[in-house]
Amino acid sequence: MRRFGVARVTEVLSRPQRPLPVIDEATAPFWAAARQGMLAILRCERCRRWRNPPSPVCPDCWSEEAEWEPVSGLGTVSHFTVLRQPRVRGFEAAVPYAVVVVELDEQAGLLFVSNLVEADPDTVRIGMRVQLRFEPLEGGLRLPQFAPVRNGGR
Amino acid sequence: MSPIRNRVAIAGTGFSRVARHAEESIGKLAIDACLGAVADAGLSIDDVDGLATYPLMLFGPSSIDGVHFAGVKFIGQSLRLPQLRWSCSVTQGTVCAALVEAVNAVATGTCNHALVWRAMHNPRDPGREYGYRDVPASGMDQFIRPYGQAHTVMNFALPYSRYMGKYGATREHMATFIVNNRHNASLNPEGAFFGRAIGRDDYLGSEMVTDPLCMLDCDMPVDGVGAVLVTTAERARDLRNPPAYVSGVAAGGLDYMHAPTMTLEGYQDAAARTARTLWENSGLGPRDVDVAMVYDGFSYFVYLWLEAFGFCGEGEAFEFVQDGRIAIDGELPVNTSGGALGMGRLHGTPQLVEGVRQIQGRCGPRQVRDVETVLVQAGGPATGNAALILSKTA
Repeated sequence: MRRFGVARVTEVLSRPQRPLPVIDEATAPFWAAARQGMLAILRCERCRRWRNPPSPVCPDCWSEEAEWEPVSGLGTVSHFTVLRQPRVRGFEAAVPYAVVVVELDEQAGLLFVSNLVEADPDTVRIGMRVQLRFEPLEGGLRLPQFAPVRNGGR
Repeated sequence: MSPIRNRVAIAGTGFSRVARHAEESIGKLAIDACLGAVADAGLSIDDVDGLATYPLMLFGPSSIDGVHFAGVKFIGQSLRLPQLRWSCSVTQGTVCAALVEAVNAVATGTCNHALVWRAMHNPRDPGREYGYRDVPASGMDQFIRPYGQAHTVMNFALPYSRYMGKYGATREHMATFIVNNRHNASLNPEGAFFGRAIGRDDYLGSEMVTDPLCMLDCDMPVDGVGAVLVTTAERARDLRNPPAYVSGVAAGGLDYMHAPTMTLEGYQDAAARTARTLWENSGLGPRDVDVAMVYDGFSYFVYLWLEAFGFCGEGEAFEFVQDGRIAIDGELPVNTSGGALGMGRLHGTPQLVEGVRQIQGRCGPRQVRDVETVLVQAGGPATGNAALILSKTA
């Protein structure tokens, strides 16, 4: 696996009590990469298509051969929502907060869910360019997040 | 085209009382609706030999048949149906998917008179609904729940945000749809918002839940049940009401996109496949339809269905619904009953029951003139759905 480099760690949201991921055999490499500041996505070794979330076979060519590979951490907001009401346990103090579905630059339709961090949630737009950040969680875990691209693009 | 086109018909309809929280149990409401549909058809409960429903209880910690939901077992036992020989519980596509199963059962002679219903219970303590209490962030949820994406309405907000961003739809556009819809609902004494029309400012000032969905974009949970009686076309012709012939069906509507959430594209693709099946199965097309009754658990679903069925082009429905085009006296009346947004969260029964009655000419102030063909659809664009075409003449 190629080392991508350590992304900037940022403080985000008003201290939501995030449920920790229940890491399993299939997802352990994802969280291990995140600890090292990498966003790793499962990639088919046969047809080279990426897929998220991870799944046992490639949905395009049905190959079982796949490898976790780091992505560039650049993408575009394809879907979003901004929760206005304290309806999610642990996130009551964090409202309003934006959840974004980011289409990663690596492949059309390759989607990753995160919050929009380092930005007023009211500024979120479809088509907004975003880049990878990491937020520390308990036990040394780090959560991949996305923030608006400041320098205007790629 | 379907080999059983117009061989099966809907002969009776019934609604229970619909209320935010009813005093009666959901089981009692289901009995009321079922007996209502049987009586409306001019049949006796002794004639019923088939039962079908979509029983899923959406929210709540427990699930007791007759208390939290109303399934085929509860109805079969409560009404003591000794001649019962066919029953079916579907797990997706709500009342119209159960209806499709009943149509096939009647067409093949598996049963002769089938009751189909959907019972919706609104518990006073919805428990899990708010924030998926005590659900761990495991499996696919480990990529979603740590971000606070853990509420039903948040999931359904995502495709609408993309729809608005991609095509330029605004809340102003939706206000037109909602005002028309609540006008229809205000004329419907069986629904939760009877006599309660609203204006544009009521919609635009409605409390935001999770952008871009406000309170009035979401159907209101209620206790209530809608039911229909399905039989052969031949039998239906001898009964009390004019038959609503089933001219074509489609059931499916699953999103096969590999993605961590529901997406606009997944919705559009799944809805389009349901639409294509319906037109192939019925041999008809959008120009043949006089009234469209489409699922509206969330307001923008109506846009996606109008586009999927070809009443307008992709990304055009928010403009199509303007200028009175979908009003009761418009070019294409849509959801004349008020749908779920106007009657309450009744999972497709506001579409199905009203669709039958439009064919029968029994909608009173909501009746559309010269109705020959009605499209009825239930279920979200990609969460399991079903649709049918009802015709006045076989």
